[in-house]
Amino acid sequence: MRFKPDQFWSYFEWLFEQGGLFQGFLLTLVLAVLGFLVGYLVSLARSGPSEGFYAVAKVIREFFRVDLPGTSWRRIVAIGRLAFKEALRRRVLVIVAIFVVIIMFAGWFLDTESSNPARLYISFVVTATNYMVLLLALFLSTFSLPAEIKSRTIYTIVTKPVRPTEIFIGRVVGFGTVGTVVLVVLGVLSYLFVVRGLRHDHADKSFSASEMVGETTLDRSHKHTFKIGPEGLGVTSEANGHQHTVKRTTQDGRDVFVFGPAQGELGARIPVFGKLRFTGADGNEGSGVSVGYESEYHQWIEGASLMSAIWKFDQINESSFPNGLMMEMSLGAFRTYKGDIVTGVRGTIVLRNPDPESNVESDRIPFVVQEYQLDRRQIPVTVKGTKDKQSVDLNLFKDLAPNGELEVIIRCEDSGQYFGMAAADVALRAGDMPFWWNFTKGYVSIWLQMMIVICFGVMFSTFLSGPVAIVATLSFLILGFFGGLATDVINNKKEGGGPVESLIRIVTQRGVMTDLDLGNQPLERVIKAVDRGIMESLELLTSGLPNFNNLGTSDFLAYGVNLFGGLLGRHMTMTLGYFVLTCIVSYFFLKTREMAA
Amino acid sequence: MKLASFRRKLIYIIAIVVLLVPVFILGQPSVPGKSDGTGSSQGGTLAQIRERYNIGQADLGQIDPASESMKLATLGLRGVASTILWQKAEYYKKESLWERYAATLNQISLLQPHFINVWEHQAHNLSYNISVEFDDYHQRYEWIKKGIDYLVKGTKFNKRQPILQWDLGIYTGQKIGTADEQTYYRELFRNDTEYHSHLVSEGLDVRTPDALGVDQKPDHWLVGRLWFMKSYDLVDGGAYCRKSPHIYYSDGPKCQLRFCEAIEKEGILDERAKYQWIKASEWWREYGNRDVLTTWGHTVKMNGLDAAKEVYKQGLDAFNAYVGDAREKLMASLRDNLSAEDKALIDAPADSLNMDQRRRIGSIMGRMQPTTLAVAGSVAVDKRSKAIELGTKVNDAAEFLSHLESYRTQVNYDYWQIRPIAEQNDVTLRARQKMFDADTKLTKADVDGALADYDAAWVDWYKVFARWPRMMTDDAGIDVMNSLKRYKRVLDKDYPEDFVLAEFVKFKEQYDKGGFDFEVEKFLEKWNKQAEEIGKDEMNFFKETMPREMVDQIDNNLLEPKSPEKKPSTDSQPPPTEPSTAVPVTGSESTQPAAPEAPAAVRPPKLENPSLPK
Repeated sequence: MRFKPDQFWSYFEWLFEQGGLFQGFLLTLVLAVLGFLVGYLVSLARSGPSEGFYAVAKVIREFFRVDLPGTSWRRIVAIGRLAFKEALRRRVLVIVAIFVVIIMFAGWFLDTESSNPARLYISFVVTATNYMVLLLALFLSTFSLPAEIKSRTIYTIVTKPVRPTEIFIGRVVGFGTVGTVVLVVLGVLSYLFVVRGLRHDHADKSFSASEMVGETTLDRSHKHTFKIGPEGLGVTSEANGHQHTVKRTTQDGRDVFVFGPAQGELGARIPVFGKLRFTGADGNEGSGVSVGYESEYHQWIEGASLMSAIWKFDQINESSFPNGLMMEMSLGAFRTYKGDIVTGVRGTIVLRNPDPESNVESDRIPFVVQEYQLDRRQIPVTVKGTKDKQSVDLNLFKDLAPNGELEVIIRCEDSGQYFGMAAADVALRAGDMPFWWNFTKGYVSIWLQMMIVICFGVMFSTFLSGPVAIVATLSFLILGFFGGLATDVINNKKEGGGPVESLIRIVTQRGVMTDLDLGNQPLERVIKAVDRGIMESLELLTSGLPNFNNLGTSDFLAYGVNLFGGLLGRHMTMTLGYFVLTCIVSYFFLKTREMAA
Repeated sequence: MKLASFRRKLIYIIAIVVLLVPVFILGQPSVPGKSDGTGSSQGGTLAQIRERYNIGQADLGQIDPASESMKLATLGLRGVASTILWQKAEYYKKESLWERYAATLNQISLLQPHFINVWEHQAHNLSYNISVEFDDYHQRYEWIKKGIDYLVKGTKFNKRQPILQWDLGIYTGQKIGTADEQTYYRELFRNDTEYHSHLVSEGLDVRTPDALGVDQKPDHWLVGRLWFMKSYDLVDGGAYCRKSPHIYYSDGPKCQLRFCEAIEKEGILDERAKYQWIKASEWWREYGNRDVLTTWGHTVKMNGLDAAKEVYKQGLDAFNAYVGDAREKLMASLRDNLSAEDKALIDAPADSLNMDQRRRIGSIMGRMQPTTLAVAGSVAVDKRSKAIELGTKVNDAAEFLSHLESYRTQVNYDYWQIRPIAEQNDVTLRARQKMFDADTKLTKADVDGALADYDAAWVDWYKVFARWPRMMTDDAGIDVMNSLKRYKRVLDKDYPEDFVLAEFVKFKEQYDKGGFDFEVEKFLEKWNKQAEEIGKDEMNFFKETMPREMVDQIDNNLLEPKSPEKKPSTDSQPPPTEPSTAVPVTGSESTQPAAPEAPAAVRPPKLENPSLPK
């Protein structure tokens, strides 16, 4: 799983330290000023400078003095109920049937021979649900109001004492409720699909009574080896991301093995991440090196050198880790020569008290790297180490992390070989959450995205006709998903240039990696400048819009990582912000339209 | 208003009907006839084109519901969807998200099941590029298999694409067998019973005797050969493969040759190895007998060199007889036109020349050789037409010969013809066994034992190289040089003065420097002449170094009349009436019996697979 650094932030860290609140205020201020200017310009054109200003001021005053305080939940619920009924009449539940059909045939498209089918299954259902629910929100929210305005049904509402805020919020509540019902149904179906789809059993294929080891049959493209202990119980090896318990019994003088359900396939680890820093080849603070991979996610340290990767963890205490530390590593390995093919690249772990005065560190704990899988190591509460250069038994919490802070140092021991790591590649496992709970949180995340789309859809429908509103909301969705492309083009991370340059390349059949080379440098400069202008405008626009890629949390579910509360809280706050924003914008549009006059 | 609306609808209906007519004519499906032959229809133009070129969906390969529904679900945006998936796959590859990468490839193949490059490109990615990203060789092996499985899936969708089966042969044979991890991969493959079952279920019978190694478990080289054979069957059935035929057809028999090399490296140096080398020899000869279409348009047989040389010789003789002394006259006139310096150079004694001068002489002599047509043009006018006709024939024969030699060089035909013959010889096997034993003893620190075995091996190797000098310049020579390095390290001094392989070492060191070297050429010429002499009385030459019982066995066999029962009975053995098929030819390109050179007596009297359980 690829974690982004901002995903580690706690809620308050994001809100205050990383400027989340400030950005929110700034965005509000900019939009308020822009909104006022645009409103005034429209009013100016209609009624002249002073009348126009008066009209705008009147609407603002009414919003704060009359409509906002006078907004009634009873009327909101009534409008919401109406929207709910209307949505049901439009047969939105068909989407559930479509989803059922999709998951019925999902097995055709999913790679059943994958080395981790749980990841594929979860990614598939979460992504499919996400797209379907967003499309549902898109269609529901954009057609309703324009249809009422067109059929003039809206007059029966606006002639009653109903406020524009209530019309907007009522619709959002109504469509949101429909979406929530659909999402809950899809969520339950998805959960059942994943749990049932991954359920499997093994039988024993071979067993050596002398060595007490055996092998299971090949089922669902994998098999396990197992070892039976003296009590007749054992655990299989890990394959496809899970293990089984094994019980050996005897029936009619024959060995019978009973394999338990898969364990570890569906879970939600609670990781504690640390802050990563490096020491360079000279042993001083530095950075990792690149070994030439295109991806810059990993930084690499050279073996048998002074280079090391140091993670600093905090909040390490006995109550969180009563049985010692469960360390989970997923390091990369890079060989500059093949060397010993059979043995993997070797490394060592050292635990150290971060206080340089303390002179406390553990002995080296050797390990062999296990790439692309989770390497779990249990660090006991008492470890061998040195204190003031004396060899002693160290207590993890009293000697190594007396203030709750602990450093974990990893070095590569093989000369000429490298270890690659990112901050999230070493974590301490602070426990587990039930899978269903993490799954629920993942679906809450989808619900938040759905609510944002509904808010924008309803907002666009207050001043655009149905088809135009749908195009506008779809554009907003596309920008939300692919807005990062503009930034990548500006920063030259994507080759081929902006829209104009791309068009020229398509027509002239030039590859993206070649120079544009039209034989006219001023023309090329103009094209690039125009492209830059377009892409920067687009970037500016997307920076204010929700980034749906960042709001997506399917990887947490698929990789079995507990979805951080701080991250979900941040998404909730952002959703609330967009709700307020779209509510205000909708209010002004509804207020200034003729039908509401 | 109503009238306008009605008129508009009418126009629409007429337009639809008009457009439907060509659609019907073009797209009408073909209808198979009844059993009595009536009621059949060829269908529309598109159906006929599909039929003519075998490009109907069912002709291309298996119709997969998942693939079809994926294509339908994209609502005509299959290209866009494929492009997005390719980009995603590239991203996953860049970020090392392998499971997602493999899953995306699966989806791409469902969208583009008949796009052969997808299967080839992505299978290569899986087996070659991604497998090496893993540090654990077990995982690397699994990813090689993923690439193979991907190709197998491709063959289901594209049943008339021999290139996929050819790729499968390469992946199963070469990828596993030539990797640095070959020792481990081979072992993993041998014992991968589930995978064997999987391959059987996919239609490749890896439990057939031709695929079983010496331990009666499927060997990847031999399984690779089965894939090649499947590919050849397709091409022989009319499918097209975009490969040079001489290289394409050589890969299958080469699998058997590589298999023999592999088992020898693993220490199988007895009757089992001999049996496999005989099989390899047989299959290489079969390849040599195959008609191969060249890029120049004519068909050659790789073992047709002697015949081609004979045609050329006969043509040249006929031409020379017809033109009389015209060639000599022309050469004399060309010589007269040389500068004094050049004349002096070509008249100088050979020993006094340096390398540059030798090269220059080569160039001068080249200029002095008149072309056949130039000679034909120099004869009397009344004879010129016939001379040109004969000269053209000579040129054609020379061109044919040159093309054939070029093709043979490209597949190293001579070497692979001689190698199995040499390797199945008892002396070679014993040389290898001694060398293997010595290497093994060295790892166990038995220095004296190792030296004794090495010394015995060098004597045998001398004999092998003397009989087949070609063995010095390739893998066998490299193997011996590697062991010699170990030997020298153990000796801790230079080779003894009377070292039996001293000449070989000197030659090999010179040869490995590369490039044209006069000394190397001189050495090879001398050894080739010597080999020719030995070939005339091979038995006695080898008997000198053989143990008594082996010599007795050979003598007894020689005394026995050659009956069909005594001939090797490999699976692909030709009819016993052809003497040449009973024994592999030794260095001769002819399909005619090469009795004096054939090492029949050094092989067991009756060929049975010694690996088979008795």
